Amino acid sequence: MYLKSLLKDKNYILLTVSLLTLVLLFGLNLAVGSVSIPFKSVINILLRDSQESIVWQNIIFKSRLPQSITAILAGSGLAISGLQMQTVFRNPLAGPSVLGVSSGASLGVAFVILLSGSIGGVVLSKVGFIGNVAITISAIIGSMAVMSLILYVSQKVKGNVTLLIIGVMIGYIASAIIGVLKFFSVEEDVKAYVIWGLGSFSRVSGNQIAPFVIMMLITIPLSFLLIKQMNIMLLGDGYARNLGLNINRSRALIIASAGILTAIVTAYCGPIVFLGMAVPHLCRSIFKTSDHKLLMPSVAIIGSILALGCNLISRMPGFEGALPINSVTSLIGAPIVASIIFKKRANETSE
Amino acid sequence: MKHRNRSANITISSLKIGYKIDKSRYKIISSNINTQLYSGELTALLGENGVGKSTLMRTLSSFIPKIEGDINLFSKPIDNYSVTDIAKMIGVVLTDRCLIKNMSVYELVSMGRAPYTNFWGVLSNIDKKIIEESIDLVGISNLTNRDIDTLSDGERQKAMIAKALAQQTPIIFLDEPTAFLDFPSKVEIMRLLHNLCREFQKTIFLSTHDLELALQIADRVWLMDKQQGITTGTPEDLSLNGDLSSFFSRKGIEFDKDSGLFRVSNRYSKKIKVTGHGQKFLMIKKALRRNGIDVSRECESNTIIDTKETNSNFIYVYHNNKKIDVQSIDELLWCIRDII
Repeated sequence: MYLKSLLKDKNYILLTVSLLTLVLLFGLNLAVGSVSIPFKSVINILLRDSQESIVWQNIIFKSRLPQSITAILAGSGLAISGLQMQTVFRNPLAGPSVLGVSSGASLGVAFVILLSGSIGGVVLSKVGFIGNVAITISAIIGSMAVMSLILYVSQKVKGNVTLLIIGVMIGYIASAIIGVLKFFSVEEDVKAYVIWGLGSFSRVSGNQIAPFVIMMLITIPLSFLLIKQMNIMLLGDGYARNLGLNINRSRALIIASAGILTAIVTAYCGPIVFLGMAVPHLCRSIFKTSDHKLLMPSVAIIGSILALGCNLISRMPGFEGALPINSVTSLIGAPIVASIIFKKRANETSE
Repeated sequence: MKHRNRSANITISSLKIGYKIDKSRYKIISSNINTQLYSGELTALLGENGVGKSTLMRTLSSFIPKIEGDINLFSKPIDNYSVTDIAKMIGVVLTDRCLIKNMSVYELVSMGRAPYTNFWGVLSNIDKKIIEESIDLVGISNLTNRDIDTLSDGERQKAMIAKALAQQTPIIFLDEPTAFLDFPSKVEIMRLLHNLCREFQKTIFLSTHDLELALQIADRVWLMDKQQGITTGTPEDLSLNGDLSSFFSRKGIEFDKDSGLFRVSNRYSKKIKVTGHGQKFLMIKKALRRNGIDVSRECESNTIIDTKETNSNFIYVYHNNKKIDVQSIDELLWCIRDII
């Protein structure tokens, strides 16, 4: 009994440490960049002290604050989505992109960016705000279309592997169509599409941040309502059904939750790879639990930390925003996470 | 055949089981099943692979729909129960190996409380007490905090049974609970299940390939066969009326009516007279039979084996009235091979 309470305490300590890290990284994201702003001034500016320099105020309120908030919400959204996918499919390689939801978003964006130039004669990448809104909406429509298809299929087929394969196939079809679209598009549009595909937390700015924050603040708490069902699902379909779980309904709800989170993040930030798949593994090795009551909050926090960290690196003085976020997550984050997981699991034979 | 003090938890009549292939076609596995599962009894389902044991079990726990007929659970059609109702009446232990990482025995057993806990799955003090009692009942309290992927197959099987106990269902189904286990663990699991029946009046229904264990421990046996369908009865009744013998006779297994146990059927090339009684006699009989030699106390043969001697010599073999003494059964077998 003593050991158990100690373990529990250890997890609380770990959660507190991660929360503090999150706050620290948030501060660093506001202070560090091509223009360095002292911590004290950052705090003054956040407290609406008008004595600080207007330039600094603008940098923080117009650029760094929205960027950091976006990173936090996107990071936790993707991590939760990844955890949900891994639990539903009982597959450690599953992630937010596995069901083709982000491919759907890419397809929607490809249609808008690439076709508007060749058919409508408007180079969307030059239209500015309206162009951004059009991209966001098309991404959401694209991913929701794929998700509805997956949900429909999930009610028809029994096996999870079948569903997984169908999702991967949808991804292939989407990238094939995007390839065709690219071939027939103007060079400028293709470049705009490629840049969207590199992902960024800074695209959400000004008027766009409000809808993004509101949607994430609704969907993230909603995903927490599925905790008990996800715990039962760990045991596999047979046991889960015997414990009174309606498998088809729970599976649909969890996939819908993961899909919507991925869709919103992808629509506003582009397809961010790696975070969603890696964070759940990281949390399982840190917290040593399979209980979603602990895993859900921890992936949300660790996901935010990783997103903020990657954002910070991509903005380091010297890179000047030249590093796209996807390159940072993969190039720097992936080896770190891989090594941590490798160390924890080197002596395990399975998986 | 009605009995006063016996109540059936599950009554099955003209049941047809199988799988749906497409909209209108079915793959029928077994049909015309009529039988009852009595409360407080351990019932063993025996039958060869592919005969439909798992399908029957999955149908009875309403994982898959029946094709025709009636299944009554506590004298109400099983289809009238919701998934949550059934979760509180039938607990299952499946053949899935369940190697979930980072899940402790306690957490696994606590899953059994899922049908009772609130929306978030928070355990009340009563739930915690039931979980600890269930772990205690299967005798693995020392493993409470161990991760289930570090347990042996037998220990994990006990944890799974504890999960079913925590579910507090009057009925427990187990699909081949003794597969993968070594012999002592098989016996241990069977005895544990038998105890649960006797002490806690659980109705236990299990499928198994361990015939001898099942016949020794089960209160009732369901013999499932492609031709005959399902035959039920106590192991003793089935052995007296010849059902067990005829059930297994086609499969190269001989049923020994005297001991109520099975024997691999051998073809005997010779018969030898062996005199004596007791364990030594039985062991010699067993060893000779394995070597294709039948044994009898009455027959006439050139070779006679005398096991009655009680002095230092183990066994005497008389061959054409010549006396040979041997020290072990091993030596006896070599000796017999030389003579014959």
